[in-house]
Amino acid sequence: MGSGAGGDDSSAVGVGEGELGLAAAPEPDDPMAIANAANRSTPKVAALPRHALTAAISTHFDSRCWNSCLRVQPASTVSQAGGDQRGFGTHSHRHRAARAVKLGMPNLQLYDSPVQLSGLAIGSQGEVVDIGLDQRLVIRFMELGLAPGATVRLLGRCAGSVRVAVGATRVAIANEYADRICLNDSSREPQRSAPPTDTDRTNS
Amino acid sequence: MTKAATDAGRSGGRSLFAADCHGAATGRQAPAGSATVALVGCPNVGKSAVFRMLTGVRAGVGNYPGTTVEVGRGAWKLEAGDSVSVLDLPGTYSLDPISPDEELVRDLLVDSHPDLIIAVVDAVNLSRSLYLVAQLREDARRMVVVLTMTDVAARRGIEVDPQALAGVIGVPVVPVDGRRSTPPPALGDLVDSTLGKTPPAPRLVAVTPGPTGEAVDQLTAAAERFDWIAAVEQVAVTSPGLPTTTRSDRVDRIVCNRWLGPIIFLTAMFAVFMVTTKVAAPLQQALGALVDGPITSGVATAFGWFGAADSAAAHFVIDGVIAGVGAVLTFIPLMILMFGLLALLEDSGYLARAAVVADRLMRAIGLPGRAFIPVIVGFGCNVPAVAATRVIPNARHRLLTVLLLPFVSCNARLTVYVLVGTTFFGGNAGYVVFAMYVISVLLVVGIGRLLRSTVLRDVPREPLMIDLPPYHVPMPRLVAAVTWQRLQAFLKTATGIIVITSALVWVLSATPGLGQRQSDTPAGFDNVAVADSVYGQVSRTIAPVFDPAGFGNWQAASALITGFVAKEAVIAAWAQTYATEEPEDVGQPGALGDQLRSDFAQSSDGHTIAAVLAFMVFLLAYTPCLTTVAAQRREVGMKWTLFGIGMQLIVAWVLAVAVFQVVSRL
Repeated sequence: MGSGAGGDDSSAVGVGEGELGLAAAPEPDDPMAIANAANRSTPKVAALPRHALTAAISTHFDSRCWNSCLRVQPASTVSQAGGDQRGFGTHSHRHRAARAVKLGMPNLQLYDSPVQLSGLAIGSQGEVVDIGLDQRLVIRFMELGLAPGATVRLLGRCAGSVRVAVGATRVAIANEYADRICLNDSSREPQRSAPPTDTDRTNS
Repeated sequence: MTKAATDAGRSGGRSLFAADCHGAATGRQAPAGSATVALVGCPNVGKSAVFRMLTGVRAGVGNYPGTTVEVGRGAWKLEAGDSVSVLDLPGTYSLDPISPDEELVRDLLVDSHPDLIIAVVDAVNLSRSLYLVAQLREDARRMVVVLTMTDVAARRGIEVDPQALAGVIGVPVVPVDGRRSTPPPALGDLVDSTLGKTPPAPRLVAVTPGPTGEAVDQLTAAAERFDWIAAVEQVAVTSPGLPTTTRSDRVDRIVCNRWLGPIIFLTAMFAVFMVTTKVAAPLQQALGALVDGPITSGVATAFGWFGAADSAAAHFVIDGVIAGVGAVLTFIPLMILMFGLLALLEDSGYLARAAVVADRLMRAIGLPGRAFIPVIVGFGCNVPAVAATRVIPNARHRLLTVLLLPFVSCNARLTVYVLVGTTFFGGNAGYVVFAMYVISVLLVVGIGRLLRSTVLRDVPREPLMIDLPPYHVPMPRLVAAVTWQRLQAFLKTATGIIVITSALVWVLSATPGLGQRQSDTPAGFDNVAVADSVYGQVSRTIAPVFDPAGFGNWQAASALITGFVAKEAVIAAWAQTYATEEPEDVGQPGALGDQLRSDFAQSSDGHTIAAVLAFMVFLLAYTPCLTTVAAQRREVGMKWTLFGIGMQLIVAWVLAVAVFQVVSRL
């Protein structure tokens, strides 16, 4: 039940105002290296036990931030080959590619990763990289402002959920949906440090 | 506005709005044949405030016919003199539903075109609100956009130009201050004039099917809408786009802190529990005393004027009808407090945070975080707990919660536990009473899982994903209006069923039965021992059902029948049955305790403890009271209420039999 008025009277807005990311997409940080890392790890993934899988999957992402990542999916979510079968799934690679170009975010090449996402993936720069869910849930995330390319800020974690800010919107998402969130806690602004080196990405 | 003009745009589905929904709500309604205006928008955009502003406090709320989805309905008198019927639909982000509430909105908007749609959009989160507008604009519909939260947007440096917005989306836009009690005249004029026009041309969708004719997938269509929204924002919105932390964020650092959050949540729930039990209790007692004292005496005196003070009619009115009315009246303070608290929690923005904090715990039993509130309240009284399920937005989650709440052990049952426990377990009564609460929790968890794997397989299992509205000071007018409307709807539904049943129980207990009589005294209508009345005979007929549970005596059966009406009346019913004084202190059962010990020992062939435990488990698991049944009927309809009663009786019987059979063999 909203009031139709009122609300907190802070005079400023959150990161990524104009939250669809169309206006404020961050610079990519060496996307090809990330994609290559993903491809390199693919054969190993299927042969490893679960705890090793966890580490292997993590190499698909920016390893610098992995210590603060919320959750890594177990082996069951890792596909052997090809793209993920849900969300933007294989039928939407054309769509993904087009959108990636449109957003100026080659990071979205991660869509071609053989690792199947099972929720929201947010990169270390706060960009929504992908949403690995069925279409209706992907659209619901997008309706809440969490479209691929949108810039978000992690506000905190509580009782199995993560709170993020996207523009003026505040959204709470269960950890099950927060597949890979590579942001630090929130109280800090999104880090915009130098892009990581290849070594950073592969030594986890 | 002319009716002829609006008729042109009305589809066959119009009757769905105009007629069918009349049964869904109480309060003042527009005359039949009035144009229907549907109020739609995302959650937390101020839609409810706009609805109250248009329709006043006399609008009503209720379930949409055939569903458990709550809609508001009221009349709005336009400046031009005509009234329109305003339908307040559940909040939805789009026409792509993921819950029954959203499905209803989609069905009503897409299949049964209302005469006009008022889309409420939030100036602070314009892009999010515009997705629904983008979808609605893909068909020719009469529509007006109401822009709310402009003051908050202005404080954040966000400027939305209504004229530019109207120009680019192709429908009129009116800024509205939700804190006002009346709508701006411009809105009424605009609605009036729009109703008289033909619908605007639909938005040109920039996505076309592929060259081979394949359909446009949902994501491509969604992407097109977001592109459109981005274009709209570029034209109509000026935003500083700077990162910042709001006051709500700062509050959330404490309220949603991983350590402090649960403590604050439990404190808030404890406060709700205390208010609905300790604060409401004296008010309920005062009202009860009013009914039992001056009102009853007044009615008796009135009968005395006609020389009928001791007649069957007087007894029927006083012990049947007034007792039923009194039962309803005593719930009024409780319901006002409950609905008022819920409205405060909702309007302040805390309820969404409570849902986040409790989500993981409640999800373990298949319920959303918000269901924690009704469950906690249920330990006080199931009636306001059932009403509190209104805070759960998804209708299927609400249904599951309503079906589980009767298994939450309420205070009324506690008095019976204490009396029975003290009678049979003496100093160990406390352990037995505690065990009842443990069993209650286990039942909620177990039955919840059972229902989710059987009849309620379609209850959504999605993890939490919710919008957290900014905190703000609740508006007393809005809280009062919501409280009043929910109370009105409760009274409307509950009064009839409670009064009728109360009167029926009196008639059954006053009517001599036809079978073998237990006492030698002559019997006539309103002059018969309970054992010889129809009520007593019904109890005797039912009693053998409880033989396998060890308490197949008619006195226990009659107490359980009375307990169906109200658990508070169980002890009084026993006292009446055994013709003993009702104990003032349930911890000292006296003569009543002796009678109970004797009857339970006899009916269980000496396995008294097993029979008593079985009786207590049955008392815990079967239907809590008639008022809860009435509240359930209001929330989920008669079909599910009857299903719930049947389920409770089966569960209670099976458990009672199991307890007796196991314990008696130990």
